[in-house]
Amino acid sequence: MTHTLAVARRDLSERTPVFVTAAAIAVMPFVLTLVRGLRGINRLDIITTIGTVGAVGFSLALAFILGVSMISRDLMEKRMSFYLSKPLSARAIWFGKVIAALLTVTFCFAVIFVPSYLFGTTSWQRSWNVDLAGGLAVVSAAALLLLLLGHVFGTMFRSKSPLIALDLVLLGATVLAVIGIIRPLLEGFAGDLTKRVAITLFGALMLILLACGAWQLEKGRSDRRQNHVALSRFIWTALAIVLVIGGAFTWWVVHPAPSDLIEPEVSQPGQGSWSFVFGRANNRMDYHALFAYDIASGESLRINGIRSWYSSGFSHDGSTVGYLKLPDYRAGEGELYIQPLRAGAQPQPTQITMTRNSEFTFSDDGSRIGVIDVNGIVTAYELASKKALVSAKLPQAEHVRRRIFFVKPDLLRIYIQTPPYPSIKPVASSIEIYELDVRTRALAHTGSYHAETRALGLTVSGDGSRGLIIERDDNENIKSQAFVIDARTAQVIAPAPAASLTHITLLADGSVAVLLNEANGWTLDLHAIDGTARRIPIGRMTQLNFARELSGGMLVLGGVEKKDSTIFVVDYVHGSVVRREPDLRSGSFYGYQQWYGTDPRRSIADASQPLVLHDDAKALYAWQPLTGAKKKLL
Amino acid sequence: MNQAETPAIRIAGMTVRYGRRVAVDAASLEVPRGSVYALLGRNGAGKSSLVRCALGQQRASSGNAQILGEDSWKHRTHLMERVGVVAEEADAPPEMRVEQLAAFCARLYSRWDQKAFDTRASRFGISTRARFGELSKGQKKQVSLALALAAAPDLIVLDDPTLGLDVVARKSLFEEVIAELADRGTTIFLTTHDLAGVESIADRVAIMDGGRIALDEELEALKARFRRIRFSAQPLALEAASFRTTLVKRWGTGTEAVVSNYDDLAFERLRSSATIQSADVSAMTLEEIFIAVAGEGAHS
Repeated sequence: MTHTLAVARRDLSERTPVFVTAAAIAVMPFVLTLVRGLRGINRLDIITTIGTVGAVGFSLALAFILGVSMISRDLMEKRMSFYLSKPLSARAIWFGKVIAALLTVTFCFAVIFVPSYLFGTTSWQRSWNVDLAGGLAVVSAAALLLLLLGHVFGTMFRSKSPLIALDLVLLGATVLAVIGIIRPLLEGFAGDLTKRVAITLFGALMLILLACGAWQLEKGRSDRRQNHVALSRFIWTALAIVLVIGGAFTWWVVHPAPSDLIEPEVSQPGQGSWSFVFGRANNRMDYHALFAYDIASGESLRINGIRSWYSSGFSHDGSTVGYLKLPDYRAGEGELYIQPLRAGAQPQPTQITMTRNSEFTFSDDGSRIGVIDVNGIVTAYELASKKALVSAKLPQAEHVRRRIFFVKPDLLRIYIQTPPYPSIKPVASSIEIYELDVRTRALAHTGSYHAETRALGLTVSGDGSRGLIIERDDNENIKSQAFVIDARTAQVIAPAPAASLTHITLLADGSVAVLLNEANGWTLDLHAIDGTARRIPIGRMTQLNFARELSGGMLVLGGVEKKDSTIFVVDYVHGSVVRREPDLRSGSFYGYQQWYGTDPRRSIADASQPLVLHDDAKALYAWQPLTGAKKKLL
Repeated sequence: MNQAETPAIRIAGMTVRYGRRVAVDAASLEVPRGSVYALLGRNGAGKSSLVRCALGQQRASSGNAQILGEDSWKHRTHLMERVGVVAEEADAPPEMRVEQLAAFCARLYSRWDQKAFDTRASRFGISTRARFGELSKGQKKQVSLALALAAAPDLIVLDDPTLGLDVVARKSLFEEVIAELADRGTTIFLTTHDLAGVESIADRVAIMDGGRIALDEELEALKARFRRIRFSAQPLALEAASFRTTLVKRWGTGTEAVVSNYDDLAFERLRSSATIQSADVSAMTLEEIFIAVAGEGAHS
């Protein structure tokens, strides 16, 4: 340690010109306040801004320059023998020089920054709006990194060795490897885990860079090329070890089994035995994994590269799922993939390029896909030939909600809703309806609906003939209202009772179902299109929402009393609650999906198929609504 | 072998390559403790590469070097506590004042003698306030020498110490400093071009030529076996008298040759030969021997 400090002291003894320069820069902010052109600006703001920019800029530049020169200049000028001919170890030489450089940078930063900060502390806090300790930590880390990188670049470039070409190749490979480690984590929503991995990789890099100088001097001594060889060997070998460990960790993180999911969420199509399950994976912090999961067999397909099922969609029969795969997590554009839902099936690229915010839908026969992008261009593709059949541009594109479905394989219907999100106050809102005919290649504007409201909701019957539209307001002057409309033209067919979005739905027989919480408890009110109404009492609950409509005229409702959940199966044809299942709740966002999903049609689940539900402990169950049979899945 | 018998420096089969160029070619030598050993050679002969490798400052391509009985590559750090080095090129940081250099070295050496340093600096006429970069080439050498000697080393390695010194300083270096050290039993290993200076103090010399050690022996023995012979006959006569020649040239109507295995009996046989009309023999200086061994036209 004595020798290390001796080297540090020696290096510091020749830094006087640097300290003088720093002192001159420290005075500049104060001098600039006297410049006539700057007199209109707050003096304290000038001092703190220029003082901070000067301190950070000078310190970082100085760190890099010192890094470049502290060893490689001695090697270039053949002065390393001065140290090597003395009883100084390579460690003492290297760390002595690093300590001297860090002290120089720290002192210069303090000389420039502290006077301006003390002079205008309040102004500094207002102007920069950053935590001082955090800011200093970032600058310190950046300075250390620049110092060490400067040393590496100095050694490599000053050796004038052709080995530099290999270094550049390995640098490129390292960058790719880091992306390969980080990207899968980001694709799995693992912000915290990614941050930790990034910090760990950064820490490992710093340790490697800190150790490399001592290693380099021990192995290379006074020979600048041998220094370069030793440095490169050490850095790339150590980085390779770190990256292999990091890669193995990422591989482990992104390969959980469905059983590793903690409190998984579910998206279940109306048909088929496959569902999406999604959630945080055990021991993987905030990494979220997504699986297509067959509730019949327990088979699963891990799906990478998509950000949960929000950018995906099932085909009508539930046999296929389509999803947008982005080349990297920040990319705005990717390719649409089709994943047949059967064990061992591989995802198939469709050659359909989509932007991140595009919407797509399958035709009910699964032969075609309709896509609408953020520019309002709607296209129908044939999956077998991977060809675009027809494409058209809609008049409205920006600040709209786009919803799309195939009325039949040759006809796409598009709903363009403005504004896309609910407002605080009532605003002019509209839904424009278009149809794109694949055979005639004609785009027709078939109807529109206008209202002054806070929020406009639309859901459409399974055959696409009728719609339920709701204007949500609920203030003293304007009340919420709802209407059954012609889903093609938006012509009002009949008024309907108003309710919140999770308490009203359009049923398969065209009637409107509303959940009401009254003095005697919740009721299900059924309003037929001819104006007749029926009421089915459900019972007292704190909350009750629509969960699913089943084939055969049944509705599944999810209720919560305090913290206990109950699932109700209501036969709305015969007007009775046919089953109550305690300790189960819906795991999906079905109630909202009918209002905001890409396809506005309500899907009706096959009553013979089990539903995927949670219990109150968030375990997943397959539950048969007709028989009440329950099987734990995950 | 006890410590006293261990050579101060032992180099065995050392080869140093820079790419395809061979700077030192399988060199081996031993520097006995307490001796003054001079390594001679022309520019580019490989002396400095050999010295750097011997000091553990550079890794040899093959072979190894020991200093005071220890591997100099592996144990450089603690060996340097006992070794003083004056490099061929002045390598101290130019911004440092002489007194700062001394203070820096004082923190590194347990046997540092500040008084000895101050005395030598004063004798060399160097101000300790002067910056190293502002000194003349000779003064830099003198400061380096004073720094090396103040650590009271067991071995001192001087790589061309007279380079840049004026005649007086050169004479002082050899006659006062080195002689004084030698008297104290310090081993001195030096490379130099100043053959006249070294001739009076060296116990042993080695000559490097083209990276190889062409010659390595006691100076007295060397001077005893090298002679210049002038005679009026063809060079073949020398071979008849069993002389090995290192340099042969025509001289008037006769021949001048340098022989490396001179002895009086053989010379008398040559002189009494019927084909020889006259023959003279003269002793050679180290410089003349060096030219004969490593100069243009020399052959083994």
